[in-house]
Amino acid sequence: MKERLYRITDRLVSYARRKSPWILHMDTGGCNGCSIELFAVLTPRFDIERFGGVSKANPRHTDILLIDGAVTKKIRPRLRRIYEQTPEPKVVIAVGACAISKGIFHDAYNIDGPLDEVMPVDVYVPGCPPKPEAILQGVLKALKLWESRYTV
Amino acid sequence: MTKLYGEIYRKQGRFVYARVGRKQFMRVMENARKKTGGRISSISGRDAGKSMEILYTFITGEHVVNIKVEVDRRKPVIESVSKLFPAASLYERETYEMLGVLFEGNEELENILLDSKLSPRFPLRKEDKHGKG
Repeated sequence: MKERLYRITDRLVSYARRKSPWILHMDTGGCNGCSIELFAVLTPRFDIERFGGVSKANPRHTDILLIDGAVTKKIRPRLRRIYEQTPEPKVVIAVGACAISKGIFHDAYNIDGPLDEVMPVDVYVPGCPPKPEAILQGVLKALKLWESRYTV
Repeated sequence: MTKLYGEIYRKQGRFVYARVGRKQFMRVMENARKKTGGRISSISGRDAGKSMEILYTFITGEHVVNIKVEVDRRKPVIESVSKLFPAASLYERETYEMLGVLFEGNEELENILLDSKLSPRFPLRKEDKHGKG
C-alpha cells in the first residue's frame, strides 16, 4: 500500500519536473555573441517557455545551467561555486566555441581552461555563435538526459 | 587654443589632436580644466616601441581634445590627474595594469580588470608573449 503511494508520488514529482525546467544563464566573460543568441531563444519566436523553461537568476532555483563565453581566470572560482549551489538533478550545457574549447581566445592572457575543466558538461552546442535553433536543440537533448536522472 | 593644449598637430572639426611634453603636462591639464571646465573622457596607453604614449581624451562643450604624452619606456612614470579629475583614477588603474605605467599621486593604483594571478605581468607591452597563453 505504501509502495503504491510512493510510486504515485514519484510519478507526480517526475511529471512536475519534466514540465518545468528552470534555466540559469551564465556568461563567463565572452564577447556576448552567444548570450544574444540565447536571449533570442528565450523570446517568443524560438520560445523555450513552451517547454516550461523560465530564466532564473539564482542557481539554487534552477535545474539547467546554460553557460557561454570563454572562462576567464577571474570568474573560475565563482563558476565552480555556482555549479555546486545548483541542486541535483542538474544538467550543464556549454554553448559556443569558447565554452567548448576556448575558441578564438585560446591563446589570450586572461583565459583559463574550457568549461569542462571547471565542471562536468553534459551537452555541447558548437557554433560561433550557434543559431538559436541549435541552442534549442541542445536544450531539448539536455532535457531528455535530465529526465533519465530524476526518474526512478 | 594652442597655448591651452600644447602643440596641436591636427585639427578636424570638433576633434583636436595635441602633443605635450612630460614637464608641461600637469600645467596644461590644470589650465585646461580651469579655463574650459571640461572633463576627462578616457585615458589610454600605447606601447610605441621606443617610448610609451599615454593619451588623455578631454571633452569640453565644443571640442574633443586628444592630448598625447610620451614617457620613457624603461621607467614609465607620470603624474596622476586624479586630484583634478577623480574619475580618472579608474583609467589610470587600467593603464597601469596593462602597460605598467606608474601614476604618481594615485593612491589606489592596483589591478582593476585583470586577475591578481597575472600580477607581475603587463599584457599590452610589446615583449609580452600572450600568443603563447
